[in-house]
Amino acid sequence: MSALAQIIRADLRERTRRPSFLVMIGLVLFLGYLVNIGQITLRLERYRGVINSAWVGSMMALVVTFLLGWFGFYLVRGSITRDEETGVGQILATTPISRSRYMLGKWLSNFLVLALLVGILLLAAVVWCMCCSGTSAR
Amino acid sequence: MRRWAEGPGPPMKLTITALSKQYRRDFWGLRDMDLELGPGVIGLLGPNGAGKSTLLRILATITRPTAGTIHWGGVDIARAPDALRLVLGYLPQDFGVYPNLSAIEFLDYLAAVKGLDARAARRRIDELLDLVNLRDAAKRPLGGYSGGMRQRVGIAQALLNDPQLLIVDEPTVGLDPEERVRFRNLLADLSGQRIVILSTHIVSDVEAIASEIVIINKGRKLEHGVPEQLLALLDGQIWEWVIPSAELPALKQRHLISGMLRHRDGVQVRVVSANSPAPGAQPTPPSLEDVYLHLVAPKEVRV
Repeated sequence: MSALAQIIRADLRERTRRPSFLVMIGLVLFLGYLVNIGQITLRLERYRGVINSAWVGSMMALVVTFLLGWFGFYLVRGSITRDEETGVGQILATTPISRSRYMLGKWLSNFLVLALLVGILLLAAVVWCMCCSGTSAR
Repeated sequence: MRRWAEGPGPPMKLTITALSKQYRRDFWGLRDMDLELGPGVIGLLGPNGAGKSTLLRILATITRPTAGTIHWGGVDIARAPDALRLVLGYLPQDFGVYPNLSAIEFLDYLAAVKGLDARAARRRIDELLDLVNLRDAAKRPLGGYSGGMRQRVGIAQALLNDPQLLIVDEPTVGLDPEERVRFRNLLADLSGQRIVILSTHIVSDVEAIASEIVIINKGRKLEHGVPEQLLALLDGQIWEWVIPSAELPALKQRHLISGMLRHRDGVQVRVVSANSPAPGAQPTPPSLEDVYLHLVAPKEVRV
């Protein structure tokens, strides 16, 4: 595996195994759930959307954008600071890896952490929608 | 373990010329350092703040010197750091890890960053885990390792690329006495064709294994030589005798005391002095500790 892929993998492993990542997943699922059962709604004066898959989908997109924009940052921040604080950065500085590859690796790893959250919410939304459509049909 | 003793290729030479590092306008971490180092264990001795880490960080291509050059096999490493980086192993003083990774995962990661081919890396990691005796803990998260175990991961990562230049900065800090001895022996086994530079402020760390010793203080080189050369500096200048405890403060004012041992009838003192300091004083052979203390002691206590 290339050095770039290994940087991404090590960074991802380190991050996704931390409790804060599990908390974040829990939060995302909880908010997604609230949207799905109609606890979180978007109103414009007297108007609100009709609860159907298109509207729930849009709401999910809004929630996830809000969440990742505000709190996702705290999840992915400090990945270079961590290398500095742990001393791993000193070792990396003595290796032939270039600065740009290192930065690219960190960026891709950040991207994947957030993408993972979106993916989990996506799957959950599909499952919920299928369950809900089952109940409303009754 | 034999094969670890043989570094690849012909022995290389590290030449340091007029190396200086300025931190602030009036503070130099390193001043006009000249050194020529070949294979063996080189003990870099100096008190805290002497410039040991500064020198090692420059050698490890992490920091740039303010002035002076370092040549590795004839190549200026300021111009072409990768020439050295490919054959460099570095264990920093404050070595840290990713706590949620296992030893294998962490070493895998650093092997890739060091440019090792994945299959070769796996083999190498396997051998290294045996060498540093971490086989049983290899799959546990590093966050739960003891200081000694973590240090062994540190030396394993430094050896991943079979380095010709191995730099270890105060590696015995935080180790218990048994681990300290084991680590020392490991470094001695590793030397062979490599240049191993080991910094410490504890003389006994290098006394047994160093083939050469460099003593530095306040950013300057004080002495460099094989242990016998350094010992010869104080030949016939070490004296031992027993004095009453009450006389100790007065003696401290006049002489550099390099050792003390409590006796029933007083204190046996060990003093560095060119001439016999007291009627009952017996000359004894110098130790490296005497030489070190004599060199780094403030000038006014010296006799």
